[in-house]
Amino acid sequence: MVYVLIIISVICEVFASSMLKLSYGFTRLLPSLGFAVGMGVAFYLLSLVLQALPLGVVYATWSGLGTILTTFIGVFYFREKMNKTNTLGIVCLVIGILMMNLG
Amino acid sequence: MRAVLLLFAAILFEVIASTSLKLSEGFTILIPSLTVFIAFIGAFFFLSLALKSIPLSVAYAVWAGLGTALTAVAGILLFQESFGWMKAAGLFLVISGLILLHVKNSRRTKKSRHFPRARHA
Repeated sequence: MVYVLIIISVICEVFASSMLKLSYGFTRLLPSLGFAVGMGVAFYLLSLVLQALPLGVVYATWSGLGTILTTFIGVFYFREKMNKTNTLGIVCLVIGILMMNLG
Repeated sequence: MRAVLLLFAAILFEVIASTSLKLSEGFTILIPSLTVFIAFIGAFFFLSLALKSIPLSVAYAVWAGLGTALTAVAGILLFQESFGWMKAAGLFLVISGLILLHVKNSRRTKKSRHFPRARHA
């Protein structure tokens, strides 16, 4: 259950970051609101997760999953190519996140 | 040198924010909850100043990598979180992965400015 919350939180944070870019320095209303709501939900869920799991593990997992999701959006949505560097990066993150959560 | 100090200030504020998030116990305690907001605004403020002279790829990689490492240290020191070899190795891999992907992501962004999207599609 806690891991479902982390995943929803990561999705909200990546959504908020995308809205931040689209808001062009908070000059457009809807993306600015999207950023505020997305970040609010992301951090509220993260605060709930932190009540159950250790800070070091949660933060590493959260930033790692966020980076993986951002990379996948780049590949599937903007048709960017996977290469050795980002494949190695994702492998490191997946193994690292599993080790931190199981260790 | 000034930009490096600004980047470290941004990282420090990020660690204060994540630590306060834990202390806020689901945003039910007032002072840590307010600190989360103020520290995150501070982190982004100093990051934006640092970005005036440090390249985006380097700044993001250092910010993500060092922020994650220091947050783990804060967890060990302030909340007595356990830290065996498996967690240490996992943390090392996560930081490596963050650096690899952030350097890559930002470089790609810079490149796509020179080569319009149509070329990739």
